[in-house]
Amino acid sequence: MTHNPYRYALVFYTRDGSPLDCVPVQVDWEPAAQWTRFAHIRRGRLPAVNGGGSEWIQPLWDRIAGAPYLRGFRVLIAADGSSPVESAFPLTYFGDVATQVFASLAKQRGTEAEKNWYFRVVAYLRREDDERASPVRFSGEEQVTPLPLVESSLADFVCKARPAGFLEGSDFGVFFTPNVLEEAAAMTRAAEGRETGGVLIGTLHRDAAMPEIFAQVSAQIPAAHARGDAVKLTFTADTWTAVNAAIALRKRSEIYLGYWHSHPVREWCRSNECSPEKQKNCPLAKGFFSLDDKALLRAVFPRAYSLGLVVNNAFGELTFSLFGWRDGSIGPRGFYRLEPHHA
Amino acid sequence: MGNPQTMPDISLKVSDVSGQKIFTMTSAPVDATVGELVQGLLGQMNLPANDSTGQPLTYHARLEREGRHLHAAERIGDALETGDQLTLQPNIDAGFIRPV
Repeated sequence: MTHNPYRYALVFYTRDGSPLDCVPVQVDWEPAAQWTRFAHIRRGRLPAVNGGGSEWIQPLWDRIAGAPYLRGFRVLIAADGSSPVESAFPLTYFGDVATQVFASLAKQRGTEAEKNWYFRVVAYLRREDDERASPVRFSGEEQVTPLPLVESSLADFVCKARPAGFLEGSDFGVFFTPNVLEEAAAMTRAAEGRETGGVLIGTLHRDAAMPEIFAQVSAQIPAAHARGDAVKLTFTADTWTAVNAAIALRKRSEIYLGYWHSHPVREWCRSNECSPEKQKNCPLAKGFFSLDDKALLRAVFPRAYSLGLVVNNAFGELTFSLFGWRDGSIGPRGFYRLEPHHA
Repeated sequence: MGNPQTMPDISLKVSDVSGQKIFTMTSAPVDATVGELVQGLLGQMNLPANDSTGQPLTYHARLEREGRHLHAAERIGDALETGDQLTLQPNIDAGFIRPV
């Protein structure tokens, strides 16, 4: 259960310090809560379960200006049988919601001056009458389920794998079996100018000696019943049903680890009639995770170990970009490719 | 079928797509619709109600016992039994950055 006794708002200013507007915001705390939980499960400070315990969201006041201005916030989790744990988050956590509010304000004011605005985050204790609760017709409780972990040695995996991308020291390890990337590449080539994709499944491992948790992506399930065009891939309810059936058929106790999709950069450049010089230096070819891509990861894969893989079909060889959760936000991250004879 | 006004509420298990988040409801009101149930649970399960542009996401409720997606207008009391398991599955896009 999440306890959040504050309401939050963004206060916008022009560069010269003139106040523009104060906009109350509904903040999505789930990624921060999931990150906190997983970070402490990795270190053995919380039981390896989904759900359970209680969470508190607390503002961290600016050290100079004080309340109601924030310098960040923290998430505290208290679980049965464990000491309370916490993680702190910076103001960049509010970046996405600020971007959306920026855009909305700029549209209202008919201006593009938002590039010269900045914002601060404020928090106020909720009043008793703030929560005009409508009758709760549907109330439930999250079931506590064990996080399925296989006891393994991280060092064993590292020594039979090649790193790819930028490996941040604090990220948990992610190891791809070769078939996953090969199949994603083949599907991307076959789809040519259309986006295609699938679901990543695999296993979470625990090295109890460290302690640490890492992931092995063992398969990709093609997104059946998905609708793809040059700029969009729609995962439907039937897509998820087909993935569940495939996982059940495999009988390897694999879990959902994330999803992958392709970016047909070559097609984007062609339809924009980009010059060869522009194509050579196209920033879209370097791999990015769009707002839609992030929204999908958030909606379907909110667990902090979840991953989003992009296959970039630009000019030359296909490239892979991996994205994952870090401090409650989604960003680029590195991974390992397991050697074929060790997968 | 019993009188809906005297039928007891029913208990359900509702999970997200991955099956890693499972909610137990001990008393789902039988006179509510599946659509109302889905909307009522999104907040509790911390599932986003909207996509990146603020448009509502469409979640389908799959009834595992029958292997079908329920219609939003179906009544809980007509379609579901105590102990049923539902999976909430969204239609959702991955794609290029949309113009804001």
